[in-house]
Amino acid sequence: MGPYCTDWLGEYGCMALAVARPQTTQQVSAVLAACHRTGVPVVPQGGNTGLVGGGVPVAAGAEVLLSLDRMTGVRSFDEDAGVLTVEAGAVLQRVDEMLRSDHGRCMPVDLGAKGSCTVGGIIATAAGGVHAVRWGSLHSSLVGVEAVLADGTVVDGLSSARKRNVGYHWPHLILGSEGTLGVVTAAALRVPPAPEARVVAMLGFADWDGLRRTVRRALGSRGLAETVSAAEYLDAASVDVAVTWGGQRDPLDERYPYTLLLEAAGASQAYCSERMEEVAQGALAAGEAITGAVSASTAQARQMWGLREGVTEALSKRGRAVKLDVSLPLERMAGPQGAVAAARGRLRDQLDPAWLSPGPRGASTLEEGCVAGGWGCDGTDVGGVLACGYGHVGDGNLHLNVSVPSACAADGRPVGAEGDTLRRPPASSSAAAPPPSLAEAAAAARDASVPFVPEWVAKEAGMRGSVSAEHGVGMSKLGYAGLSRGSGEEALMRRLKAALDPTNTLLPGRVLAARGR
Amino acid sequence: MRVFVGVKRAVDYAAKVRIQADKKAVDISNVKMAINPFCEIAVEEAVRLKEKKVAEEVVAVSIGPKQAQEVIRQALAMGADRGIHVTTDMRVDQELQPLAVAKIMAALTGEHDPSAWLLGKQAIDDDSNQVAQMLAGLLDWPQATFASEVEVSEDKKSATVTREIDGGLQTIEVPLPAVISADLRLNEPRYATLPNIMKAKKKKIDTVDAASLGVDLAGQIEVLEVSEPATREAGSKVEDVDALLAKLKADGLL
Repeated sequence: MGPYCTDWLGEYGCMALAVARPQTTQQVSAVLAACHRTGVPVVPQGGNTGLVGGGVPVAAGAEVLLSLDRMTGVRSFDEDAGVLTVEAGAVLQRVDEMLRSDHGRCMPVDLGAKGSCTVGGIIATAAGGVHAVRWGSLHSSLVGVEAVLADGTVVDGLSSARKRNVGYHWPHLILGSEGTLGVVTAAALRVPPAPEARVVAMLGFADWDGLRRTVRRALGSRGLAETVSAAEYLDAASVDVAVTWGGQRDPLDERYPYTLLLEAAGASQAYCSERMEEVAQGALAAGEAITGAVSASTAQARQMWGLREGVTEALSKRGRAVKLDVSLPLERMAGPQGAVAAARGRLRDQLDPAWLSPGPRGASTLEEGCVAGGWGCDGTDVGGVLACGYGHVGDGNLHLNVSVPSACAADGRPVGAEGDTLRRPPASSSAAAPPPSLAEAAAAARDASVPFVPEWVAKEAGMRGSVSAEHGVGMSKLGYAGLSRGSGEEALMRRLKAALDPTNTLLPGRVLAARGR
Repeated sequence: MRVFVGVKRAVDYAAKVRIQADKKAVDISNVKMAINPFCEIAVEEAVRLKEKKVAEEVVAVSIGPKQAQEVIRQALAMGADRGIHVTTDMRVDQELQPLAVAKIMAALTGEHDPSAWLLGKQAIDDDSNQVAQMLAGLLDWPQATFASEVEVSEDKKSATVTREIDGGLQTIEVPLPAVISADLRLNEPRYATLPNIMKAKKKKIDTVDAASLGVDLAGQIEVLEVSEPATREAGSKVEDVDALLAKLKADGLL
């Protein structure tokens, strides 16, 4: 039962009453009907890669975990409509590989968890991912679902008709509901043709403003135009973590305050290269970027993506991380006026200075003025709590992580061991007090960041931003999701929940806080 | 010390290739091409020799149609000083074979007097692993192949090269001039950065027609057929030993 009952971050979960692993929609219906009848809560689960504690039991021995992992079948593929009908437990990467090799198509959503996450899971969270800037989130691609409601009723809305306006588009209510309105057992998705050609570029920037101007141009009709495929950013700390802990290579070889990754994809290699060269050379000529490189082979393109995709795993290896996923207008994401700077200021205020990573040498602010060679005193990661920012800059989506390094990690032993302590920068080791335990340091980092960062986002961006961008609410954001949600919205959400799951069988207390709190 | 580096434009290693309808060759008409990975490593090593002030000039040489200039430009952007494009319309993955390539390079050597040729150990399209060895033979120069480390002596009269061989590593000393071929672990090539790509546009590429070099370009090997590897047939499971024996007998294997 263990792997089903603990989340990927190791922060949530407890023993389930039982784990059900149905193979058919009828079995899913039977499980839900039985639980509904007897008042037992149900926790649906896909690949268990969620980051908000929404896919694991939280009441010990009281909730049934309903895993869709045995429902992996591909039901059909309609070539003309470009619609794939697939069961909810199918793993995203498997489906993508099958589409590419058998049909020359691909999944419109791509995220770091693709090796484990499922179709049902990405529907439950309305996943965005790195190609949202080209194909939108799943909202753009969902054509229909087959779902089972809380009382076991099966509702079949699978259709490969791309246009079916015959009433309410209820599948799009289920989409993003994190399993609280119904359990998706199969889905019909519009899948795009897999681009034959792609070009990746990395550009280094001294300041946030330059990056913003380049992104604006790149996403415009004179930039990458219809070839736009991805726009991601990493700050110097993120690059450092990915290189030191993820074994990734930094194609630019020197640390810049901000690194932008752009991808162009389409039918013609020559045209994609032409668009990318123009954007990249333009950024240099306009004095926005300091330098950059364009991939000259598939190997180079993969290495560039490796750096960006390697950050999350590298953060896990470094120690623990407080993960914040927010939407912001570009000018408030990074730079002196941005969320990352605000978080760093907060950490300086709240945490023992001996715990903090030193900033780049010679920098006037922790944000800009990075020195080549790395973050620490001699170019290597010297430990200490640090905040790093990276993410889907093309969608205004920032992943802000507060990284708390484990002392055990330094010699390669697994992090999070019993008695594990915070790894501090050497300069502060002479301080009298012994280092805190990792758990204590992580708790302090979390207390400093939450609800500070969500409140900052809500105050500075209002409805131009969101305290949760793509990760959802689950358990972990219950306390502050309301900051980006109007009271009218919340009231409507509660009415919908009451209509579709009046006895609160599905994931009680998640997404919408239980009343009376 | 002048170093000549051979750079071949070959199919991108990750590209999915198909066979031509006439089964005479691989279809490269619409396939993504890139610099041969081992040639890229050779360029990187040559540029590092220049940065260490061991080499004064690095010249990138490629043989092929006009698109061969793309890989020369990439070598220039990585730090090579100038390029030589030997033009030919022969297919460089098949028609123009290693012996002819070595002869072309030998002809260039006579004209330009390099102190070393740095080549990739093999091209990933034909996997021949012959040019470096043949070139050394034609020039009567020492060869140090599968190099994973190269150290040029202070007086630039010899090089100590560590070679990757089946049994492990072998270190040899060769007098210069010599032919060295690069193996995978020699170095990790740098990316051609945009400012360097712009600078490279001003660097010179000389063009020479392969036919004008007085070299016999004809292939020694005729390709009869190119085909995909046979698809592996699915195995079948049997319930017990008796069934296994029956099946082996039925298939005429027992």
